[in-house]
Amino acid sequence: MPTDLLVKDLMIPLTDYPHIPYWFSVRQAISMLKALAADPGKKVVPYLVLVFDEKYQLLGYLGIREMLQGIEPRFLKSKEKAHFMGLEPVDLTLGSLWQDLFSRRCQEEAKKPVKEVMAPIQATIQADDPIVKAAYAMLQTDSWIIPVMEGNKVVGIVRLVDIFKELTTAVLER
Amino acid sequence: MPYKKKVREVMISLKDYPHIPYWFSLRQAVAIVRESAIKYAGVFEPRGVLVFNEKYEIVGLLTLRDILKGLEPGFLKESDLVKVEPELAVVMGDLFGPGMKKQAERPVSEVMEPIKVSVQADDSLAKALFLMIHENVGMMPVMEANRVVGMVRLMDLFLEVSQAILEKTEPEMP
Repeated sequence: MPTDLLVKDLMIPLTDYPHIPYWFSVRQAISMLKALAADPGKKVVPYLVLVFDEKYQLLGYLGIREMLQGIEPRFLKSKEKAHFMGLEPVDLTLGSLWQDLFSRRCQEEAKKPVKEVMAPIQATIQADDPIVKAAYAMLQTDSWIIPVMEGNKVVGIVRLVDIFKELTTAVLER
Repeated sequence: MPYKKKVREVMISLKDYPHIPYWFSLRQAVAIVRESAIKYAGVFEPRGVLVFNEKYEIVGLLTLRDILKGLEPGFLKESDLVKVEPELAVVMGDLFGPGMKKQAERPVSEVMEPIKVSVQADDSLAKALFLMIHENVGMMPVMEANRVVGMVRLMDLFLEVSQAILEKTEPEMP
């Protein structure tokens, strides 16, 4: 039964997944993720970097969304946050703003420490938990990866796409 | 500059992105998405399947999350109790047990989600970026003359614009 698999069976160890201290700049985080995505030998393309404190405790994560919003906070807002600006997604007046996107001002914004723009970790899973539990936690929190813990220590991450593959194998068996 | 590029230049063409008619079963969708993941390993990792009607008009998007929820209705149970203690959900029923094969015969139209946002092939990357952040999606269909011609992912946009960001934020020589 695929459901007998444990999280640790599908885990990507922390050493193979990008992680940075909280005082790193947004620019450093972007640079790191970009380099990893461009690496042809990389089997798994990371979509986020984990953020740690000086005691190696997990503080949060920085996804593509947080990185882009971090350097371009004016335009790149979620619907909820943009509401007060009276902007609609199809607002044509924005056309004139496109050329300002990622203007020189983002040079300053990108120096910000990741701590200021990271998102909080919504859930974690234990290495000895069944993969079904990890899938459940990711579906409930609307996430694609979840940090894996051994006790209080982060040891890696597990991805929903890898769990999907295991859980759906039985569906295809006749 | 890279962000002057058009969406069509960075999108994944429809012929490469998994797509199915709405009457396909979840089992068929699983087969298609897994086949696509193998075929395009190292190129992109599909996180969903586009769903069309008989007129080849797009009617929805079926993500891996939707498939898992469709195969295991137990995943949809959301109580405060389960949120606090996720293992309860696993204990409550035999998730991904024998009932899954029956669930797998459901048509994808029952579990797919409607398209929240799309972009035109000739739109700028900046506009696509804005829409995706604004609508909080990780991928969206690309349209041309009312037809879907491809799929664009936040990661593709990030890789394009991050180059510009890194160039611009390069520390200036004294």
